[in-house]
Amino acid sequence: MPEAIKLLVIGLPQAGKTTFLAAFWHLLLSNEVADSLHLAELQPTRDHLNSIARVWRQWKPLPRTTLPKERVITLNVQIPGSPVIYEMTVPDASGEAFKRIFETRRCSAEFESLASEASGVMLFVHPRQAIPPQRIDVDVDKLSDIIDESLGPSGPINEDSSDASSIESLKWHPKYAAYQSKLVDLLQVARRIRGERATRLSVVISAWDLCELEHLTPPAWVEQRLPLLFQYLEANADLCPYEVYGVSAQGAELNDPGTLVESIRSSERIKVVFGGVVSHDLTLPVRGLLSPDGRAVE
Amino acid sequence: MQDVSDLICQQPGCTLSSDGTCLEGLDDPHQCPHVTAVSAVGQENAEAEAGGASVDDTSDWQSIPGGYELTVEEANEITCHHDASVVAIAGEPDAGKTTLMATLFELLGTGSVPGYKLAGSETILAFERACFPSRIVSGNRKPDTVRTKHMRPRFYHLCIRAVDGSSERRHLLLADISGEAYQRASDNHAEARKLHFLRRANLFVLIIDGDKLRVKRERQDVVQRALLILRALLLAEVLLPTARIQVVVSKLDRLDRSDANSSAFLAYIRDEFRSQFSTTLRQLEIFEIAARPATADYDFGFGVIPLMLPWISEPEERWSDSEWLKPANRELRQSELFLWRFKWRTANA
Repeated sequence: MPEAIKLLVIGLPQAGKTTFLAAFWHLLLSNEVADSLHLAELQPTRDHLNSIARVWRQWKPLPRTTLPKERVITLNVQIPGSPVIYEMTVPDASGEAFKRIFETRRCSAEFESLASEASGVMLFVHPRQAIPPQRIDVDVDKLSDIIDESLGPSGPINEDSSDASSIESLKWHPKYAAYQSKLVDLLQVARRIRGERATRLSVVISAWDLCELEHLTPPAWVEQRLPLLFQYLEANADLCPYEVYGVSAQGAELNDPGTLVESIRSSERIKVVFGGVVSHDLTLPVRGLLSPDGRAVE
Repeated sequence: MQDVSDLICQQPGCTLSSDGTCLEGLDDPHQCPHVTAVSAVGQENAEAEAGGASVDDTSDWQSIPGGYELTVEEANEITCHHDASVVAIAGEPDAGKTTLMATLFELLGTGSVPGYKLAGSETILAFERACFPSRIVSGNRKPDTVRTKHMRPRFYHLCIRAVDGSSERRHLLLADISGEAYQRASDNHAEARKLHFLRRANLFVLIIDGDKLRVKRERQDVVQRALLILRALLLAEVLLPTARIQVVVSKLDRLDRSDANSSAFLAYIRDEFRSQFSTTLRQLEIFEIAARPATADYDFGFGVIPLMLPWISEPEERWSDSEWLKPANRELRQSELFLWRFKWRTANA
């Protein structure tokens, strides 16, 4: 009897969730990476996975997942050397749905059900979105004064408009919240739904190739770039043990893949950084959620 | 609670949009039948932006609690289930109450609170909204803060844990209410009595607007008004002598510290509060902060961390038996329930 495992996948739009799923399905099918999770048997419905994996293999942009309802995929996977088959349920989650959850404080019944039943959570973070909010500090203040002076009295800004209530000012909307606050809140929403039950968490930093110049480990990157999220993860690690993975599932920019396009095997374009080891094993973040025995080894 | 800033009440005479008070007396104005949820328009826009799906696609979605400031009832849920400290942030309008809370969240968001980490917040959107006018994304040219309008207490929530992970999670409820409410309390005993949620406060933070101390003709009056707020709340017995009191001079950057007279005046404030309240109050401390300095002489959040550390480290007050008496023969109001449940729980711990 397969062991049923439900995973909740959380991430804002364009965080790399579908790219991950496409490359993950390719790895399961191709078995190109030794010791990675492999497919125990083909599930009856696989058209969506086949379709996104094909687009991924052809270095084409994947369509954005904009469905308001979760598309749930079931896979039968196995850890090498283990007789246990995991019947894994993973949603191809729409980032738009998470955006809406944060901004409107409402969620779908499907999300509620997944969040309450999931034994593992994957949080997708994209470096291009991890931009810290910039305060209007003394330097910005001075700079705007200089611009005012250079524009002179005929410029668009007069004494009155320097007031914070000037017409240039935007009205508050939740979409302006800091990226890390959105992620913390989404994790909290999921945690509130599932209660105090312990759940493993894999934090996947997508497009890790963009972060490599910073020469940080994936956990150190989260600590530096998303300090509020890092604090939240650390403070709740007793209830929700977590690991951070740097993942480049796409490998490179689609319009400029460089030498990666010459790879013999598609899996060679994948890069996963975890515990100081660099590999092509994209199944590591999922494997870490399966069971204590199936936990990825550092 | 959902955001109330965009609600409009159709009922004549209702002051919801100006001071956040529902004419029907409802703590959460969303429940009022006369209120139009103008925010629904924004919500539709957000949904349209979020991928072009129609509103009908999400019509069966459920509400999620939390997000914006908590009502007394919602704060109750936290005090019922967790050890929580209530910190009342008080002061006249524009003294810097909301700026203080926004700065605290910004400091947490940059990992600048040594020794502690954020373990959660039920009011992340409220904090983000408080921070927004001081961020470049707002389009503002100068940092700003949205003024608190509501005449009923609202709570910002933080759950904090020590970095070493050895300690339990500590819940902080930061009580925010319009500065007008404190002005009224200093003018009228009955108005002061209305602030009975303060009886639950472990810490009471009274902010004096440092910017107003610059004007020598006015600064004496500013200090006297602050002293009067404290005296009025103690006299009304809504502020208990057991609460820890922090008097805070805000906007320190606006004062010329090289001016001996300004320094002497700050010393006078310290002496005045200590001499007037040292025998009445168990703990009184004076702080000077520049939460969001406008000059490079002070770092962002100057003085805020020493101010907030007692909020986290202060053990919960234990109430004596004589103080916890459930009001007899009548239904408890939510604010009374807030107080009473706390007493019941600590007494039965």
